Amino acid sequence: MRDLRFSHRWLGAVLTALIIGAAPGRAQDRLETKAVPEAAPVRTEVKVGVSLPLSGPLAAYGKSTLEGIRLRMEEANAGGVNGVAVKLVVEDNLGDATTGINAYNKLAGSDKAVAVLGPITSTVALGIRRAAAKLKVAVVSPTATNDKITQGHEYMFRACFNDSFQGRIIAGFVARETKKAATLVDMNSDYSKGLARSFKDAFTAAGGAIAAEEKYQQKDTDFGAQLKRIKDSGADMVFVPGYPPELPLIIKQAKAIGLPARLCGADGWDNEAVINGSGDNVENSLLVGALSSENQRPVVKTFVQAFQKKHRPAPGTFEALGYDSASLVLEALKTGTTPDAVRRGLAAIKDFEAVTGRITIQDGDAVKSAVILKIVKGADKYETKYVATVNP
Amino acid sequence: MHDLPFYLVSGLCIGSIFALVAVGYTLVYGIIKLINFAHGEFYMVGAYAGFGAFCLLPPGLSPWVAIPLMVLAGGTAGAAVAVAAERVAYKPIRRSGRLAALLTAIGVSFLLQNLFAFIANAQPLQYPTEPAGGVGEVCQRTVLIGSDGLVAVRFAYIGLAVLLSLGLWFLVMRTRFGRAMRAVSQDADAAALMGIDVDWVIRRTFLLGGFLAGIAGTLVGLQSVTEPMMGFVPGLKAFVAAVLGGIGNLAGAIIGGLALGVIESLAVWAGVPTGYKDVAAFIILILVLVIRPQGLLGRMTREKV
Repeated sequence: MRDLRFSHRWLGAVLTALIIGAAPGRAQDRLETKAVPEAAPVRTEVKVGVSLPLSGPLAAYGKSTLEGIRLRMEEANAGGVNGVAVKLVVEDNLGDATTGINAYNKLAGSDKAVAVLGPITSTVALGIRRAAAKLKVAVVSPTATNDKITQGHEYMFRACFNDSFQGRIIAGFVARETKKAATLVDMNSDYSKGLARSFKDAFTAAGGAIAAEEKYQQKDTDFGAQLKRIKDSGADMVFVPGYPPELPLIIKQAKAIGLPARLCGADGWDNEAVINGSGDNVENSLLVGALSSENQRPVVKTFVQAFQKKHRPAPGTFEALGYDSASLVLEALKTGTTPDAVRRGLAAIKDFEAVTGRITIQDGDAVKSAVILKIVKGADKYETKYVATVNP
Repeated sequence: MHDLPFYLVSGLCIGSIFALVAVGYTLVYGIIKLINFAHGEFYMVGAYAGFGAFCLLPPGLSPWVAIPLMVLAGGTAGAAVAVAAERVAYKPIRRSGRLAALLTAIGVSFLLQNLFAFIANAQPLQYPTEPAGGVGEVCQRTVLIGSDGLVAVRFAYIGLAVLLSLGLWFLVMRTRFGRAMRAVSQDADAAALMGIDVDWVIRRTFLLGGFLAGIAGTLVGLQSVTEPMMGFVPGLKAFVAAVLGGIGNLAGAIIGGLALGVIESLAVWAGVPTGYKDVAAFIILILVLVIRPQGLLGRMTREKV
């Protein structure tokens, strides 16, 4: 009996070690905190934290954003930003609110970052508001669009537009084509809920009617019941503010059930996993993006060229906003290299020529234009095509 | 409020999956009184193995050959991981009490989820819908019920669930192994005294449960996504199904699974908001437990003191 008990303890220890070792949250420790080549040793080093989902279902978005951030920081370090070398400290927040808070606390606390780029999702960004007020290190979210993120908070900023704006412009475009639309919302996501609300407000204000408001939960795999209801409601267009992995499934299952309505979405759609992972039912869908790579402004051209030199495909919304959020922090670093100076610098940004438009920071929000994109069939796969630019 | 057949059929389809997974819960519980919370992860491992098989098989292979092979691979992987979990995690603590076993099961569940998140980079996998005639495309083909399409693969759920249930019934009721299983379930010590190798029976039971869960996982992965956390919700629902039918009772698990699927679907048909269809299922569960605590087909057992 004694040996047996000993072996239990052994096994317990091994299991615990395995569990701890395998947890993806730990993987972040092994993620390289990549310093970009430093040329002149005289420069003071400034740490900028990055908190993104690099594993989990939103990993594709996190990686896209990181590519944009890295590109901008490499350019900056090669050129020199008034005597500072920027070092990125990267944390994987798994797209999870609790892990997001821990990541922020680590970056702003023990890592002594002067600003934190990310998180990119609304639920995680909302989660770190309190920590940001306490540690007083500015957060610049590249893509978290929920209205409440920046409201009444000195340290929360974003490089993207917010949900009210985004919902309003897509609703405007949908209202041009039909007066009868439906929404399909992820009830676990602040992004999805906020966006659906602003879509509904703007769409009804434009004289449209929401025929069905259906909801699903994250991790659902069967949307037949919801799609069936939307089909029965007779809606001509369905607004689906979501993310993978649910989004591609919804798009495929809408086709399977024979839903005649066209689906449309927001910035979450601007990703390869959606555009080329959802079958042929994406054709002609409208979405809101921050950038069209066909745009001819010089900043955009330089960015698209630089990006394509490093990575193969053309950059989308997430790459561009990652790049722009890094630009905003670099711009703010001109004010000084303390967290407080960076915050003041961010708040004072005005008419900054960024890739995703001319940005003015107002109460933490980036006031700038958005583009409407349409998914069309390209030579060998689907791609987004520029439809229109909408100014705030 | 019409279209009852559509809702009924889609409920039966998802219910078949719950049933396949619930059988594993109930078998294991029947034998060693362990609520194996890692059972949903056997389902997930099966789905990954199915996807792995898909990647390994030559791309030109007819889906009619490829899909059965993938399902078989999923089942085998589910069985293998179930046996491994039993051997490594459950066997050493079999006599340490039910709480220790339960906690270990939760540990195994986390371990497997995170292991796959680590290995597979936690990227949700989907079968490519190109080219036409490939596995991914075939699995998106639909059958019309009334005017609504339902993915054809889902009908395979029902067929397979019926077939496998019959096979299982035969195994448990008509073979030596089944008799040994029933004996161990009644009284493991007495069974051991009669010369039954209890360890062997337990291992076989895990193998069986894991096999069915792996098959279910692959089938679901075929027309949806494969990702590390995919086993959690079906695992939970299947557990509910097993309790609904009377945990430890084979027929109960199958009926419980089907009932749960149909209830969920009919709740939507009856006008419950789609976001709350799970609530309907759980209310039914609570009602059943209040009125018949032993489950639909469960037998009341008195605790021996």
